[in-house]
Amino acid sequence: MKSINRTKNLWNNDLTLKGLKDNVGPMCCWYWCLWYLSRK
Amino acid sequence: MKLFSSKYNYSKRINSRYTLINNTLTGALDIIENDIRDLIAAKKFNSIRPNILLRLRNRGYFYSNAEKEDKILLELYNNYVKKAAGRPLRFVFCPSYQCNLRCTYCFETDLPSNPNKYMTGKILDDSIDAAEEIIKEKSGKMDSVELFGGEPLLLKNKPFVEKILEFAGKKDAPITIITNGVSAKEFIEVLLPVKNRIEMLQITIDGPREIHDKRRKYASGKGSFDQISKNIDLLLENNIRTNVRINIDNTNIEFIPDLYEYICQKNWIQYPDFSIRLAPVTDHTTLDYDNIIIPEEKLLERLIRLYDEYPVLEEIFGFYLFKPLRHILDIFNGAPNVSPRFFNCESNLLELNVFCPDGYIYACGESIGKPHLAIGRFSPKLEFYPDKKTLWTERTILNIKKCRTCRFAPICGGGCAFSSLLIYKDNSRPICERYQEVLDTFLELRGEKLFEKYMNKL
Repeated sequence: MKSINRTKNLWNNDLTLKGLKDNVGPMCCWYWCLWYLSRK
Repeated sequence: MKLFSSKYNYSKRINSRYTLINNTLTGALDIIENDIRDLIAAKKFNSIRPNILLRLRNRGYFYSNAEKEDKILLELYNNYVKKAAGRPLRFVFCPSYQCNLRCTYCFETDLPSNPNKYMTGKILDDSIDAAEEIIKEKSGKMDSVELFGGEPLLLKNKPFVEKILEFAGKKDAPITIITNGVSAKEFIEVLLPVKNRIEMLQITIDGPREIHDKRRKYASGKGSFDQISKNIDLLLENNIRTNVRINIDNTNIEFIPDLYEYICQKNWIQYPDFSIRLAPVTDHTTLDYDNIIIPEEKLLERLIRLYDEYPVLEEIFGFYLFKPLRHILDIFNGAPNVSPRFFNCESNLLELNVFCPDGYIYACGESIGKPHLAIGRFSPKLEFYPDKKTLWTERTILNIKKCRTCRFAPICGGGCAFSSLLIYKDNSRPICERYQEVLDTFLELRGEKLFEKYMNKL
């Protein structure tokens, strides 16, 4: 068995705001694009 | 010991030896041997080697107590809600409901007939005052100013656009502009003073000239390609961050290579301020498919066939346009984890304040011009409608019955609230996207490649 993400922080209960933004923001329309551009 | 499988396990065989497994709640993504997968499927947990079983439990694939997972879901949700209170504040200004194009797949076809065609001076002033008031009541910070419509860059809107951009400058806010680009030339002088704060000016091109012009045309039927192309030249020469969006569906996907060739000839790709991406055409008013909008996995399959023929396109565009793949791609690309998604999008968190010519505030850019979906109004005075706000905020994967048993709920968020309201006149219906089908197709066609790339990195 090989774990691709090796974080011990599964059941991630300590999200940073950035993490939250990354996760919520990109679903719709142009936000996804902004989010995508910011990660390039 | 009796073990219970998580509700949120997804697995797909990658090749004759390995299977990829993912828990959409914990975000765990692992590769296991197929014999282990077979034992799991047969619920023969005691036959799995103890060290492997322990790891599988530690990563959330199994529990010793059936209620534990529900409890964790609730704890995570409560934490998420607390953090959501600190979300950014975004202000979207729609200076008009009018547009100078009549695109074939437009989702705003009812807007041009809205009696409030343009913002008046009073409406604009009220919108800026309302934004000030909202900022003051909340974080004190304006996180972004966005121009949307209709088409925001219409000549008639120019003094209004200038005023909105000045306001963004005063508030030190980043700017996003969603435009069809046909009148961008006339706006260069108002964009230049704020160009450093423009995060993105988005213009859509749907293919080479003959394809684009059939889709994105003026009311007269004339195509917009040449005008847009000239304006992109001009924007890039003026160092304005320009993003080309290519809306793809079943009828234009095969022309991506031709458009890409044009873009290379134009040398746009060499500009640091240029970016490009694909986006699937969507229609949130229906769940049906037709010859234009096809099931997402079919579109993915066609795209992969195209990528096989033109590998450079895969490097440029990738697969992020498919929502069901983002969590897996993120983790393969090195993200330590992805957090569960309890809502569909930022509209559920009322992150957006969309100010429109009718004086209403909307939570979602697609719902504009439909006052029964407005969350408040900003003119003549600022007021919010608490019952309308809850239409968006109470829509979570905990409140949508079907989501409580869906393995993809923590990566999907329940689907589009606007669709649910429009199609069912009810905010609590699931709008199911094709997570299973898209993931299966992707891993069927690209799983091994992804896996090899990962193994080579080890």
